[in-house]
Amino acid sequence: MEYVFMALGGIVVGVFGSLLGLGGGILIIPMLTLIFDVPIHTAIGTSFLCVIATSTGAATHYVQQKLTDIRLGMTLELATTLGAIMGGLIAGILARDTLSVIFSFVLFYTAGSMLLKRTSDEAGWASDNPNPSEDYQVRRLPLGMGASFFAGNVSGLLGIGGGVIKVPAMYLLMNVPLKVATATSNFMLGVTASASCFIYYFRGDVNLSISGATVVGVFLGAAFGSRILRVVKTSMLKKIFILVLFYLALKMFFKGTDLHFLVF
Amino acid sequence: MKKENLLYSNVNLILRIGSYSAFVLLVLGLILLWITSQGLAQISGQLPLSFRELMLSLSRLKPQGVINIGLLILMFTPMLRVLIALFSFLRLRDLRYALISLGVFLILFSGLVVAVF
Repeated sequence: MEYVFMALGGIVVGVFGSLLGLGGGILIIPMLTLIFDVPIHTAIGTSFLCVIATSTGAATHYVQQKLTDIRLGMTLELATTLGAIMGGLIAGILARDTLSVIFSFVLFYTAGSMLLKRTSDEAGWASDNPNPSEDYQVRRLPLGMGASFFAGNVSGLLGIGGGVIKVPAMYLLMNVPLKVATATSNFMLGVTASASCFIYYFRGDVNLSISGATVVGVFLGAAFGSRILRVVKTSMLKKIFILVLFYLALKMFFKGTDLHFLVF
Repeated sequence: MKKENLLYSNVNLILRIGSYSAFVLLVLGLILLWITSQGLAQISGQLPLSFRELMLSLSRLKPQGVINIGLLILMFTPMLRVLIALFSFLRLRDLRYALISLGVFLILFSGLVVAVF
């Protein structure tokens, strides 16, 4: 019965992920560790598979619309895959509490960046190129490669896609239009996640039952989410989601530091 | 431009095939579990299965093997996508990006080797 709830949780994560443009790892790991008490390494292994599932599904849409810059994505993948393999290997030697605390920092960062993005959107600062297929010149490639390596490393370590690092890096540092940056980051997620997923799988950190149930849920949720995207107003959803992320960050932090009794 | 479309359509095709077939196998595996009245908790949860175990459980249509193959297809789809991009760049005679794709593929492959051994 527990696995039915995991699949249902996967559906919720898939819907949220596609509505808010997230890979899902940021929610899957707290869900599995805090609700189902799954060890964090196993939760990360499952999360990689969910990230591959959601990114592969969304990437087909973006590639079809030619929003993805395949050449830029391929170039940055040189750095993300290297970082992801390193991150995956490092995670194997870190204690689960340490990973929980690091994960909580990433949750704080994600919630903070979503909050800032909301504010800038409302202030009208994030005016993007209305025609993303227009030519643009990629700038500061070495800096972008560095950011991608870091994103890959965080991804391999924590089982998230790393889009929260890659999209701002491409948009703010490399002069890539926001829509193209989002599509290209999504395109890269699958490869980055699979690089680390091999390590988790062969280390025995992927559980058949947990992964099978959760991935099917995420597949269904993401498909449903993309269908209702046009009719759902995401502004209120984002506000709730930011609060949920702050709450999960606190929970993960206190779980990792053995102070979990402080947060209900 | 037509040749450029080839790159996008090839990559799109492999992503679709990979995600759809993985989903179908995972759902089939879960249905088999339900038909055989086997609970998910009753099947051996930990991966990886040995190659022999995998083939044996697949030939007998055991849910364990079917779900495992579904997960493996999902894991290997991005790697296959890199390979398809490599061949597409070669057909486009875009040697620079063909080499970059080859680099990504080699990094992924070495990661796989490190993971197995």
